[in-house]
Amino acid sequence: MRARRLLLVATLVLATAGCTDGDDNGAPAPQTTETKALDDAQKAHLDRFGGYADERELVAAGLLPQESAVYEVSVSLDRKSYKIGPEPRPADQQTLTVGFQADPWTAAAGKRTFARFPLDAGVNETLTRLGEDYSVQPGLATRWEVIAAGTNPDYPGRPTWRFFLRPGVKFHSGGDFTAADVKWSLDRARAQNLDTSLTMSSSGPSSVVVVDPLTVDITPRILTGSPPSTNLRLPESFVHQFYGIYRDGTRPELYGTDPAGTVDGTGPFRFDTYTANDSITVTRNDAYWGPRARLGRINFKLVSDDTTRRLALDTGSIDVVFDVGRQQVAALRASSDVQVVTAPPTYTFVMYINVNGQPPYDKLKSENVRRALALSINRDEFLRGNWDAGMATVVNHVGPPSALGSSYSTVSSYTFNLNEARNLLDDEGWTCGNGAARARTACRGGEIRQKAGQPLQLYMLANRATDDVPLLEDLQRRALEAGIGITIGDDGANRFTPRKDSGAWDLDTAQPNQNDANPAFLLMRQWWSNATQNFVACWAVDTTDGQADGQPCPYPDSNLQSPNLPFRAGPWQAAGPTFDGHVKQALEANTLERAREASAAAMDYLIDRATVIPLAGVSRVYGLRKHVAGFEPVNPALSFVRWTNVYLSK
Amino acid sequence: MARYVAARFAWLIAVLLAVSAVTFALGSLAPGDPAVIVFERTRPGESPTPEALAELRKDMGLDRTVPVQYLHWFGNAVQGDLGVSWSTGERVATSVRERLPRTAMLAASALVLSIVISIPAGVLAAYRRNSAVDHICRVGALLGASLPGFLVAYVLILYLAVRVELFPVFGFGSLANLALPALTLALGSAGTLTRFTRAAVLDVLAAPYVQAGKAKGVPTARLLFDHALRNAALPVVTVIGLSLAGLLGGAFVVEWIFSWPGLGTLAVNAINTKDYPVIQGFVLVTAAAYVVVNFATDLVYAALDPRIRLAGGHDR
Repeated sequence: MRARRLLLVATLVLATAGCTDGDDNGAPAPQTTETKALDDAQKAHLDRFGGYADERELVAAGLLPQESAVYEVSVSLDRKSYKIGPEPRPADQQTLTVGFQADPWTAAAGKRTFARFPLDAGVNETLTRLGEDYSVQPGLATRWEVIAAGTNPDYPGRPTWRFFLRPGVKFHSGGDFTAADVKWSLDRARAQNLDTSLTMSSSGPSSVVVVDPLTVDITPRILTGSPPSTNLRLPESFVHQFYGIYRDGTRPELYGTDPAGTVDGTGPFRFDTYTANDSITVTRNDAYWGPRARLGRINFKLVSDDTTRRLALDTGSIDVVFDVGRQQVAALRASSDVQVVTAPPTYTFVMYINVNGQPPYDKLKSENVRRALALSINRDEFLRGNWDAGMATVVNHVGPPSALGSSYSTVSSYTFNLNEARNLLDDEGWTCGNGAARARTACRGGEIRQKAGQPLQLYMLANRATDDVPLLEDLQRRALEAGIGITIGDDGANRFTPRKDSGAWDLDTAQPNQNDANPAFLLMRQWWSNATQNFVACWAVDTTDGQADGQPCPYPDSNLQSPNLPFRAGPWQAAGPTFDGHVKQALEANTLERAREASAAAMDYLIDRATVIPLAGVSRVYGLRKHVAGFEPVNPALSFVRWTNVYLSK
Repeated sequence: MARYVAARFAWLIAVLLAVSAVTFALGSLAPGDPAVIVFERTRPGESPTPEALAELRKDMGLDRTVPVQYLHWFGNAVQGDLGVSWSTGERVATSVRERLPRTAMLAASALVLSIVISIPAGVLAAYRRNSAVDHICRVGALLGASLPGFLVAYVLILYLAVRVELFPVFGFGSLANLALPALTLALGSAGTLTRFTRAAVLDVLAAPYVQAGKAKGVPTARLLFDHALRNAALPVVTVIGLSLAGLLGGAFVVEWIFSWPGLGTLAVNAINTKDYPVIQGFVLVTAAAYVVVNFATDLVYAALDPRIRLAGGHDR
């Protein structure tokens, strides 16, 4: 009798364990969409709105039939077609729940970008916007131009950017958006040391002047080039939510602690509630100046653990999950109620090299040794072994390839060649065995090459709590094929930065992210000589006489000098004067295309000298429930998600 | 009894003093300059000058010797002031006061569940020694004690939240949210408690008075729970006390996985940001919970066993 009871219980447990999601719980069947080509009239109409038009403008203009408007999702990236998506749910059911990482706004530093970055809740907007192709599009400013001399009395006669603001824009509180709000927001960004644009710093006069309610002058304190031009990358920098615009007099970072802590923006969503370490909720702004959002409400759930987020997606308690880890993609794809969406290659898994090290970290000063290391890594195999299909691709840039536009095709590539790697090492005197015979063959399994009694053992910085150690171990195995030994360090949070700053390393890996349209952004931060001193370098112009003389700026600029800044270059990676010249050209370029050309040349130089090894362009992966429609991560940057097009289908 | 209580209370104070001193000393030995950390929080992006750091150190009291710093800190701590968080600027006592009830709720729920599972299981396993029931209970106890908390958490989420959707995956605020994290913690401590209960009851079941009771025809349930368990309670109470204290301080992983906004997540964030005032506050509060629970356990001892009361606090 007892045995039968036990058997029954066991059967019930196993039967329950065997239940799966899918058709049993009434989840919607996968949706299909119909794609149609845009005609010339439709394309021309969209072009009038820059990067922010969608099919609703086409319907309003009578260029698309009304009956298809309800179902359409955004037009395609190349503006050649549009999709007719699945039927939406009723308006009162358009609430989306998004799973994001742990609350980024609990620490004082994070609060500076409350509700804007790294999670853009759609509340605040910027003067310019990042296009799908990393171009700069109008945002709260409709156009901008360089004028010979601005209106700032503290910078008389200096070339200046003049921004013309979009009329008729209202804050969520009802007030008009004017130039005073721009000045307030940008001055506060400067005061909070959020400025990354080579423009402003925490000291010295403000660069921002209100010309009239819809015009603002921004006179860069730091100029690039000689004779003085102006900071030509400034509009590209303003796409970043560090420069989000909020109402004059408000201080969103004080939300919950001070009466001035109001979150008031102009975006397609208005701030509703925030509970620390739990969630932030926004609701649709029905008075938005642009395309009205389809969603009525978005709940961003702040969930620390990424596995928990993924499991919550399976249950449907979360509709969208950001940044699915590579190990979880397969499990997501196996779920019948979840779709996996990828952005174009987003961030590059990169191997930094200490090219200026002192003994014993000077082995990679040799270009041939660096080149041998690069040639010993079969990047195609590395990708296939570590990422699911479509999740990563071979790239030859340290940032998103789209940031270089068509110039990306001019950048060289590493080609895997183990024999050449071994030959290069032999030529440098790094040989196998006792070094007596230069056999130009592979070392015996696991043997590390030697030179004058010293092994070719490189030290790789690693924070094992945060780094993807299996990837590092894979690289270690591949390098060993050429006889290069790599020791993977165990540098915790306390030791990593001091060790990197001191130069006691040979290799480091990272996955830098770019949320800025400046094509030279990452190149400047990691390999530009001037980044070894101050990120914002006052090397170009003496502000007293306008001549380049290399004297220090009158306003010492220590922006982003924090030792905890993850991207601070230090002298160890500095790539030299030729590279610096390319970066200088990029910063001085009058057009985005020219800036891209110069940046591509800089990147090509880095690869040609094997100063850096880009290993994999990793796509940002999103997990979505099947009923989420209109979600298109058209730009790989984290903070650029177009929530206005997203809706929930039946 | 009064002497017993007084002696135990004196130990409580002594242990707290020792823990506070060791925690403070370890914090002062930790790498990194606290003045730099606070400078970066209050003036992010700026490079700290030696003069600015010296002034900040003076404001923070870091220019004094470590023993003097400790006395100052301890004096504040006994008045409820645990300092200010280096990363958020909030008072540590405020953060702890906000989160302690949530962790306490989680720990208490886990303990109740643990007792509900383990006492009957341990008694049954002892009574049906070497039977199939005994083997199942012992294997289950071993698994519960051996499996890491995060693994148990994910398995419970997978089967009870994802597959059958009985409970939510994460969150805070309802009994449903409490269920899975409490169960995760409970299974871990239930394993140990079951084994102790079984061993203690086995010990007692061999006693002559139990045999006599059996011979006299005392009903089994009464024999087990009125006579055997009561006399086996002392070691079990000890383990329950240790479990509760451990649950209060050791729910890090579970709180993180379930996004339970308790002391555990506060401590994890503090460790990640090298926020030593918060870490010190957390350690002190956890240690205090530990000694208070043990003190309570000692009092329960005395209540359960008159010999302890009469002996004036000496252990059996």
